[in-house]
Amino acid sequence: MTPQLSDQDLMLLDRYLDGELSPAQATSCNARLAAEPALRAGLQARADLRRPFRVGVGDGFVPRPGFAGRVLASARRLPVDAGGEAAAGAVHLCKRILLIAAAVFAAAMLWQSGVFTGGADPSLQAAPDEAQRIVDDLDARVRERAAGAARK
Amino acid sequence: MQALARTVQASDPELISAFLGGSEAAFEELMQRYQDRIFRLLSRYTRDAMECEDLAQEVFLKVFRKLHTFQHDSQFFTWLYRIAVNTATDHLARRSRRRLHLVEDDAVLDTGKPRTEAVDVSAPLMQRELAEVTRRILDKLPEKYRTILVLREYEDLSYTDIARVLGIQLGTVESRLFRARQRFKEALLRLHPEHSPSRGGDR
Repeated sequence: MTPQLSDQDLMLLDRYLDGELSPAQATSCNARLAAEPALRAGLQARADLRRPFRVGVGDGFVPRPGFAGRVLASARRLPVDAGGEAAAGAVHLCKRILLIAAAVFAAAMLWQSGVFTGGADPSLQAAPDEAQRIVDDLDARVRERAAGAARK
Repeated sequence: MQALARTVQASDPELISAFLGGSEAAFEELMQRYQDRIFRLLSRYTRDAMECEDLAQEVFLKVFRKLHTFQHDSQFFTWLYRIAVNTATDHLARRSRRRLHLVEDDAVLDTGKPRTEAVDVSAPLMQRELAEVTRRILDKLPEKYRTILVLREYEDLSYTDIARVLGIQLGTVESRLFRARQRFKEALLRLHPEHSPSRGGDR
């Protein structure tokens, strides 16, 4: 029973098999492979894991004759509006901005109406008595100024 | 005719420049150059020949429309592969949303077996079966694992090219590929132990 390899060692073996190690790293890996039987066994297992793919590597559909011509014919039917896409993109962007603005406005209205806790602060609104006192005060000032103007 | 003859040996950037300058022949040459690879790639996502052709057509039409946006800081084929992979995975997602799942594997085996570029009738039955088993497991893997295995194992792309195609970091390629292989191995062991590779020190 060979000991299990760490993920780091398995990834190292994958990079080794995929040809993704630098020359220095490959040399170091070769040295370890020569000294560590478990690593060698792991290398064989990782190589075997690639075998199922190799047998089907050439499989796949192939284009029917005239494929390129059919694509070109379709391409010719595409609307010739280089600016069209940009315009469509700009319209799309504007719509998004308007949508966001509407959402922000709605949220602000809700906040202002006190729907959200911690929204409009009722302490900022004057109490009726206080409001009346301020109005009376302003009236008195106006009357004083009017009287002063009449004396002059 | 002379211009066309010139483009036959032209590099990808030269063909792209020629196309952007108005040469349809240059675009056709680009398609001829890559259509086999794109069909083979898309074949990993669909078992239907016509669907594969439709997807390939969609890919090249996107290229036709978007080629002016191609930045020459990477190779053309990685850009093309990115479009193809995105088209294929979008297609799978749409199909999944519409709940039009793939026909059950066994039924497909009888009717929709993909053609091959060069069918090797002498290939041992065991090999063909293994290829089919591999295909079935890939079909069941999460899309990101299937795609990275396809790009590495079938398309033989380097980690750097995979990173460019998928728009991810190199380290992510390595870790995702590792996890994909682990998932593939577990599925192979569970569903088809007769095809499982030797275990050795591997887990």
